[in-house]
Amino acid sequence: MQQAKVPVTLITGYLGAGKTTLLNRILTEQHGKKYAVIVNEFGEEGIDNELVVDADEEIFEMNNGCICCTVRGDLIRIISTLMKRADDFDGMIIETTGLADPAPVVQTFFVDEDVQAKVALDAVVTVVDACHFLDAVDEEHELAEQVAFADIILLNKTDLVGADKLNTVKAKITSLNRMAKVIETVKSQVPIADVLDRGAFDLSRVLEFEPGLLDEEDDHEHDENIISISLKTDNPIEPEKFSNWIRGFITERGVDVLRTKGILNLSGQDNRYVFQGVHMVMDSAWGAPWGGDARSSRLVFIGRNLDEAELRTAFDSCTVAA
Amino acid sequence: MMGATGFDPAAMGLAGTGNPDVGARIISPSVKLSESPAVGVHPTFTVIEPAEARAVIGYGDGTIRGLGLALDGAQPSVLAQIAATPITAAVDIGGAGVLIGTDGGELLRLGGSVVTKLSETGGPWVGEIAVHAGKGLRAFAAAKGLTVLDAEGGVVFVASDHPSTVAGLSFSPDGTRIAAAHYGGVSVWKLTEPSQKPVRLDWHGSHTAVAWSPNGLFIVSAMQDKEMHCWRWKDRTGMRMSGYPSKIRAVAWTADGAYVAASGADTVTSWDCSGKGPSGKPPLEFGYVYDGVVREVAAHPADHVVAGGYSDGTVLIGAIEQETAMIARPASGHAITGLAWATDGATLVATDAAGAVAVMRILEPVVS
Repeated sequence: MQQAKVPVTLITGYLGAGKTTLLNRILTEQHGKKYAVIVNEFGEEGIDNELVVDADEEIFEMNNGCICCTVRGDLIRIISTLMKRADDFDGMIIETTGLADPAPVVQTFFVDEDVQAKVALDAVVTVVDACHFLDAVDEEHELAEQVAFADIILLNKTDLVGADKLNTVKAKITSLNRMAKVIETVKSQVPIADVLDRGAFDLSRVLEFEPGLLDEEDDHEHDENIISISLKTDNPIEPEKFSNWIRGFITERGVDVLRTKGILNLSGQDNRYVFQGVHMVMDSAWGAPWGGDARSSRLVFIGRNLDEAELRTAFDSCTVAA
Repeated sequence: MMGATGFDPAAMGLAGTGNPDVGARIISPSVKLSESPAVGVHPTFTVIEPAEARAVIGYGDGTIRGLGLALDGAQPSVLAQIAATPITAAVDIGGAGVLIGTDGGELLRLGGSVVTKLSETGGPWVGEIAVHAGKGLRAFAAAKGLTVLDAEGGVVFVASDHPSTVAGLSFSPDGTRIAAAHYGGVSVWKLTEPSQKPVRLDWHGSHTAVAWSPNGLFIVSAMQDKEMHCWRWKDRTGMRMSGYPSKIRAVAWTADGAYVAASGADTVTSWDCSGKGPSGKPPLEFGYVYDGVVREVAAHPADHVVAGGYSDGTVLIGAIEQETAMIARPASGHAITGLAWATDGATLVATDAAGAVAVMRILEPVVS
């Protein structure tokens, strides 16, 4: 029998966005639960937890033929040791520095077998400061990456901006990442259930994308900035055609593709086929049966240098009709 | 591998009261096994302390336990309880005492059942320890630094600026140098010349362990990338040893330096390092276990014999050149976490992830 894996929540966000406030809120509100907290620097704001481990952000490239495949060596060591302790952790929370690239952290959970055996990444939660986001996002590429990698975005300090600016911020966030759930907050006040135990990387829980985020009306030009692109088709997908295309695309373009997620209607299959990827690391599984639901296939790409027209043509050519 | 006594458990008096081997089971005709029940805590290190004729095991709850090697059915006893988690250990100079590194940033020494503090880092974990008995040297690594102490505790050598956290340490057989594994390769320092730059053995990727061959000819590292790298010390020629399905957690040299064995495959793999080295020669293999991967290896103190500990809890003892093996401990369902030979070459100790300790004794030579 397989033991339940300890869920790990990754909290990212720019300096001063409210990461530590969120962390302390989780720790104080989850009474009686035991968390291991891994931070990259002991900030000015104290962390209210028994076990706080200071990590040192060692990013290691892997020699697996994938130039973008990096892992965090310090996290591998820390998590492997923590899991040998007698403590029964209900979860782990990792708070990154404001400038951290989330990719190596996320990939650690899919690449290292010791980490994979014991823990599972539950969700990437990115805290965004509504006041300063627009000024910073074009200057600091880490900020755009943190938003691009997120499963949940806490749009924080919404009380400090007007409605117009808030809408502009939301539009920018959606252009960067149209698969994340955006929650507007003040002082990182969010129901804990909205950020913990999300199973965002658990393929068995992928049923639908968040509605409302997948509008396909935007017309993106080829863009070297991070954008997210959502594709949809009602024609059934030919598995072999799709597999050849997506593998080739990810191999060739994996450096630029930060995250992918898909729910596919494969021809002749009763169940959804779901997959996700972080750069070149891909994972797929059969999902829930379609039953009486309307069948359609959806794909979301988040990355740089993505050409929507090119992707759409390629995706359409994977359908049975094509 | 049938032994002279034949394989008849009943005849061995398993439940006999007057038998000095009560509690010991015959698993293979040539190996006797005594096993203590799982304590439900993950072991973090397993060493044999020759001076006390005992296994010393550290656990994730901070206990340090000891178990005699008599195969008398005794249970491990708690020798000490420490506040931090012990994460690594090595037998101290002269085979007496055990050095322990902790996630509290301490270098501790267990002598008998008394724990003393030899050094502390003020934060960074003491993750690696190496001892050179002949020269009376103790080395430990924490974060990007390594420190070498003499037998009196005086600092002999410090190197604080490796490219990443030091993930492996190994003295040269003559004790004049120390090799440190890190991201990007291995640094080899000459202890008598602390101001000198290290010899850098470069290979892209994260190196997680290092072992200098006992004959001094080769330095081998294990990598995050499911492969090993081997350098010939004389001319720094590097060789890549790849094709492993899983991460290599352990490497072990035979006493003469002829073979280096590694975990990471579904068999125990041993590379022939005699002559010009392993280049162009496939590894020798023994011990395929269905649905198991080798997690730990330990080389016999004298012969071309290696013990392998598997992810399903199986322990095999195999002859490298014959590529044959016998089962020393059957699968427990819990991965082997530590393996150590006693200096007599007849006794082997294994621990598994559930905290069970197995003591095994070879009844006849593995290689005739």
